[in-house]
Amino acid sequence: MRSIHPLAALLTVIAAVLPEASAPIESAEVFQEVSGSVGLRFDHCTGATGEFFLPEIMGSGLALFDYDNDGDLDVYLLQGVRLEAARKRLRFPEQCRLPGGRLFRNDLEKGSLHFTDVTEGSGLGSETFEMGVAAGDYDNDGYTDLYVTGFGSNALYRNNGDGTFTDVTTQAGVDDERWGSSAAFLDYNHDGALDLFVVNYVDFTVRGNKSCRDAVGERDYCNPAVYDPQPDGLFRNEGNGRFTDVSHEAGIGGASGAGLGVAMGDFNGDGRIDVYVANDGTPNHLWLNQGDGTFREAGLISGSAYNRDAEPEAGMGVAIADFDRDSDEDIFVTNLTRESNTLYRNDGAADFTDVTLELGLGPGSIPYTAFGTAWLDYDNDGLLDLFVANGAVAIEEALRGQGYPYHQINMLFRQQLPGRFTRVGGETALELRTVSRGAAAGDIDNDGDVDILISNNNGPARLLLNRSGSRGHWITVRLEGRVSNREGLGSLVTIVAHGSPPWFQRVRSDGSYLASSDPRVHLGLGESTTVKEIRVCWPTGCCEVWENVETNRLVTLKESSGKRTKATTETGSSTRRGAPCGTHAEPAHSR
Amino acid sequence: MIPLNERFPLAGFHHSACMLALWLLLLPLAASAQDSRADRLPPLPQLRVELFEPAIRDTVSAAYEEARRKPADGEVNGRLGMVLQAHQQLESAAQSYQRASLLQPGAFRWRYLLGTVQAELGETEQAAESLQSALDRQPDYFPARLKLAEALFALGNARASLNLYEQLATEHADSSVLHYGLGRVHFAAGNLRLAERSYRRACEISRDFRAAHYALARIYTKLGDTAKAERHLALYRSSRGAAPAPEDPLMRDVVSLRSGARSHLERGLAHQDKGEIERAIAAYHEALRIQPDYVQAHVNLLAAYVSLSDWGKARQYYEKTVALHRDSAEAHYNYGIVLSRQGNRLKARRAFRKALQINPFYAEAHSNIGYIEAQDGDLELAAKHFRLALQHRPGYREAQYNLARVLMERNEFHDVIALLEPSVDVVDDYSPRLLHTLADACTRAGLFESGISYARKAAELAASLDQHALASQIREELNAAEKELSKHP
Repeated sequence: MRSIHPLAALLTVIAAVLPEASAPIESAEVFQEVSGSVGLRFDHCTGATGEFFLPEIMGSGLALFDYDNDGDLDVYLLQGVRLEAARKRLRFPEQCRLPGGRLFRNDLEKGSLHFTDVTEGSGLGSETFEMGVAAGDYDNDGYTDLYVTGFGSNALYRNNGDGTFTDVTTQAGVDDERWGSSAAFLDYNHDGALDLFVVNYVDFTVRGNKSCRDAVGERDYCNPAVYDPQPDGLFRNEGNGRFTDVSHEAGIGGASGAGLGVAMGDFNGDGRIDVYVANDGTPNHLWLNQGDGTFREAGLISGSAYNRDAEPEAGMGVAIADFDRDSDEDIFVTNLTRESNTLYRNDGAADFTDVTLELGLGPGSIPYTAFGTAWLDYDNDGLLDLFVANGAVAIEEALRGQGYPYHQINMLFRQQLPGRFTRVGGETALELRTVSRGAAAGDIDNDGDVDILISNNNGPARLLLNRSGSRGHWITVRLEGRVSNREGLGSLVTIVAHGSPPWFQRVRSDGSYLASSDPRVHLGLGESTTVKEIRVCWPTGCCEVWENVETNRLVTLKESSGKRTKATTETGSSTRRGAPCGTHAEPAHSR
Repeated sequence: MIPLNERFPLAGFHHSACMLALWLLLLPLAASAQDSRADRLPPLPQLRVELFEPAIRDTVSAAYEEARRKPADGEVNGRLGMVLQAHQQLESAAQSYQRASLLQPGAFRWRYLLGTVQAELGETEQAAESLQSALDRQPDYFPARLKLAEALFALGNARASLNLYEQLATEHADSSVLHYGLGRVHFAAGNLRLAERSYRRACEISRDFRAAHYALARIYTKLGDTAKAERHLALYRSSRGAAPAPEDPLMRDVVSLRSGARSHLERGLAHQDKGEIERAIAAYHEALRIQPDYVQAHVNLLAAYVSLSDWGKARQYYEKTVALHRDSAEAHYNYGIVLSRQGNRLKARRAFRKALQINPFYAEAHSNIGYIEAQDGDLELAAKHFRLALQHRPGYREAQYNLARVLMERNEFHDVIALLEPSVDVVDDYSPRLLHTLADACTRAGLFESGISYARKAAELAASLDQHALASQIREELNAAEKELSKHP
């Protein structure tokens, strides 16, 4: 086989060199809340009628995705709806009259960050209570589609490529009458087509709504434990626009959990895509891909189902990354107030240890109910930091008697030294009191640092623009699959720079809570000025390398344009497959 | 004892004069200390008691009014803190305990209770300070020392935590919680062998200590001892015990102050879980005395009377429940059980269907309809409902068993095998019956070896679970089958 000369490989890197990053800002504050000033005006409505229907307090989410392929991230914000005919005076604001989620186009290419509401005529938005969203190009036509979960029904919107979407739920066969929360596009059978994992919550129904009270007897939202948890769903993409519900045969339907968050990873380093589900008050699930179309639930045995005291926690959101750069994927789960969030360190081969306390993430999170979350290197120093979006689900003692007593601040934990996190203080944008739910991370203004978009329950969406500028070097990698799925979701990107251990990041839009994030891989490189090598292992099994890539830029890597290399797992051993790039690998699961 | 001024009259006079002078000198200082204490005294908490349920409002208001009347009385402020802590108003409780601690500087209990509240609020550093400050006043209160060791660990001060745990271990060697805590510190420090020893000791002391079994299983996994890991995971699964908390009279006093309908409901549930139905019923009635329209208390009473087979009372509480909330799926379901037990399958089916109209995912309702359909001979419909029950609640053993029986009736042996084989390793009360059914299905499908193997396993398991009649029955069948096989190998 003829090898590709490194220079030739480099030429295939389509480098969109961005303007020089601006000088560090004078202000000490890194994040600035700019939603109103950039046209991102959206108010979430819970539709609350005073009956305390559980979905009201749980939604809704958001997506950051480039629906028009113009190189910047657009926004879809999901909306609630009144769950029962109004018998009482409504408490939500006027904007609530517009049903369904809203699509905002990012007009960055016009010179500055600005969003335009382009929902009308787009075909998006339904009158169900929208909960979560997954973005992915399920039909590999080059345009990112949306799967929206909801209370009552879910919807798959095919992106037509002309600014409109078509609801193809029925013909695709992906509806689910259960209460869906988060969802994820992933290629679990490595056949190049994105499959769909849908997380379901509990068996709440409007008619069967229960009346619950808090510790002083005031009416409040119920603990979900009063309802029964539900099994999740897995839909296999048949590659012809249709999906098959394989929940039962894959084993996913064999366990219940009050599921809220989901993210993929390869936790045991066998080259197959596994799935982690954060469950609320029931053990979290770790679904290990067996490679034969089935999954084995290994939460308990792996140490990732419970906290260190063998207690199931109220898992809400999940964020997965190799935060300690030891070449495996670790799991961070957000939880309820009076619990801490939990960081499960992967000690290799899907053996996890709860290291929350040791790493400084414990006590500080106890007062808050956390939902959306993301690993991001906000200051580009080469160490991943953690963002956590908070908002109560039960009356906050200090806010009792106020209109909507669930507001809390959000939090950012900086990994100051490897393996030691410190909460970042003095950030006004983070300390706005809101009832935050979804959080999506991505470089919204394409300036080389990661911004955060937050969806707030019963409140306005907030865009936290990162103004850290060129504090450290960085690189953003966008993948373009040819045999693998178009966005390369599930690919493993390894970046090697001089004088530094390699960085591993998976291409994903999943994780957080009810959210879909920027699928581009963004890495802060600290003081590293050049990237020696970018290695990409695609979900279809092949790996290739691009060498000597300049930093501080966005690079687009097309599948089969790099130098082929030996496929290795995150733990360094050879993968089970090594299909050449650019050809179809045999799907692991035979249909 | 001879008074000083009698032995040394002059000196005594001198002493008195000096004391007076000293008193005059110290007076401004004392006043300043009082001022400083008053400066540091946090205000009384602001409470929105009008939003509290009447029973709780009365309790809290009484303590609150007392504190407003006597704002400088440490006891009264502390008492308010206890009432607030009992009702989970932790921030206000902390405020009250802080006042009480400042007003009664020598008191142990306010500082201790303040520490417990701060720990629950995630104010771990302050909690450690309060607990240390409490222990300065009463060094031997075991729960406080244990909580301090936990707080120090949570703060990342592993050395201090370890020292304290080790010291406690010499004095309270029979405390499983202590050994468990010690194990956590060793584990975090990477001392797996020491951690294993501590966790093992915790399990030896409290055999039902779930968390300790789980921790041991994790250690053995990391040490590569899969067999021991599996054994402790199994023990973890079969254990029901939470961490056995040490005797804590001060915290017990706080808990005893809980009032309100919900606290009685929760007490009732705890009794019901332990099979103490009469006591559960009393607690639910108490909840209803406070809040007569408490739907969940009515539903729980209905369920409690069903377990006592008191159909009359059960019906009475069904009617009361649906009068308050006609869409209570649980009420219709429980009433279906009543009708079913009374042999009225038609009405029972109707009640279960009502439950399903309200909640189509109600697994138990599907299962019970399946049971009725099977009794009425509609095996197809029965199987459909059992399958729906399993779809909504995977691993629902009763539905699994009943579906297997229906499929056996229909000679669909391979379907039975496909249904039951994936869960052959699950151990619970249903396991022997399910394995027995699986053995039967295998035999009738011509898979004799598998059938005999499953039958042996079923017999062993039945014996180990004290299901002796079933064990004997399976053994007899096995003997017969083996004899038959020996005749026709």
